[in-house]
Amino acid sequence: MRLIGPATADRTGPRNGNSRLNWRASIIACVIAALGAAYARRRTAADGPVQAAVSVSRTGAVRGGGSDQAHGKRIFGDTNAGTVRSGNWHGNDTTWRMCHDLNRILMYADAEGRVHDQPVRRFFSVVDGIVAGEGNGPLDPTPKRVASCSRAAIQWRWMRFVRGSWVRCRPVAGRAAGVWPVGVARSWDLRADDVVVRSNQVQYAARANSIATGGPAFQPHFGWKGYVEIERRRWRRRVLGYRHEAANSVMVVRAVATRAALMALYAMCIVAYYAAVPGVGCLDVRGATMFANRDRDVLATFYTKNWCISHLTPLARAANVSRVIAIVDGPTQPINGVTYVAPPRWMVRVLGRAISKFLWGMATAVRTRRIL
Amino acid sequence: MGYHFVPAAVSALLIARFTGAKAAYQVTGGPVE
Repeated sequence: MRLIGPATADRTGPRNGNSRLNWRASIIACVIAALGAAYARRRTAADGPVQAAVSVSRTGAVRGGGSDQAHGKRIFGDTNAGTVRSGNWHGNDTTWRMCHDLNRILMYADAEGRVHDQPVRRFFSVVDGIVAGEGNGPLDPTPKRVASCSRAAIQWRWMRFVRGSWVRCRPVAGRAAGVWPVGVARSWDLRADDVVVRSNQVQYAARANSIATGGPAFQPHFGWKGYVEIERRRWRRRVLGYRHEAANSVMVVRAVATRAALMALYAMCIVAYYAAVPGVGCLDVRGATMFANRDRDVLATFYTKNWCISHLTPLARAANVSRVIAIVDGPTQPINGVTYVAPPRWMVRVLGRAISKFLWGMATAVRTRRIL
Repeated sequence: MGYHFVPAAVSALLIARFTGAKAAYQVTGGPVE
């Protein structure tokens, strides 16, 4: 988490009601918004007919969006289909730390919530491997039947994959040992000879490495492809990700172009940010100190209700937060202390989601004088 | 407060810049970001 903002020492006085509008900053913001919207509309029109209002993933989960959400995908690439521009990649340290802490709680915390030095319980894991998933999981995996394989083969193949991947996988390599180890280090060092398969079928009752494997090969998520497999990394995988098997010059150009578009966007934002230096406090939100105001505004996009709950509930329950105003799109879930605000539909259709939320967030911040 | 750099964090930073408020953002994006 990074905190960035102007110094507040000169803006902590009482609000005098004489809000000054910095026209230079406003004009720059409007020009950027207009250029971005025009470019997005032109790209959408040039690439073909407008997409359906709601798309459904392979697993039936509603992705939502339609034409309003197509702009970002067309310009910067689809974060669910090969472009890593969110948290779904191997270098994201947030999710695995959460999972690791949950496992520590499972093993070391008692019913009163006290964390002990030694495990307080034993647990037995059961893998129900009838239909597994590969590719873009867990949000949109491709179902893969594994029940046709023998149970022993599944177990052995899964172990082989785990052994091959965990060496380079931060969730394990980063926290396998140390304080409150979750026992992964032991399985990491596990050898095939250490595993004995018990089965009522004689051909499978043997040591794991003596059982022939014939199960299907699993495709890793595109954000991990080239990093978790045993084989060597290749730069084309890093650039093209999930679709590297069908890589051609057109895809290379497209991948480079999407990154160039992102770089251009960053450049515009940097220019706008520093061009607005004289406009710090241009709307004169006096009294906006970091922690004096106990309300918070949040700008986000949630694709599922659980996503919404997991992000906003801890924030709303924080001791120094009394209320959260969320400028969001996508599914929402009623939460105590959280108020949802969405830009009007016409604005989203005209300007797109990102610019609409930006403008609506600006209006909300000015109206409520709230810390963003 | 914004989650992901584009567009939420960018919007949060610019809004904070224009309004004189504080901004926080969480970046978990890939190598491009």
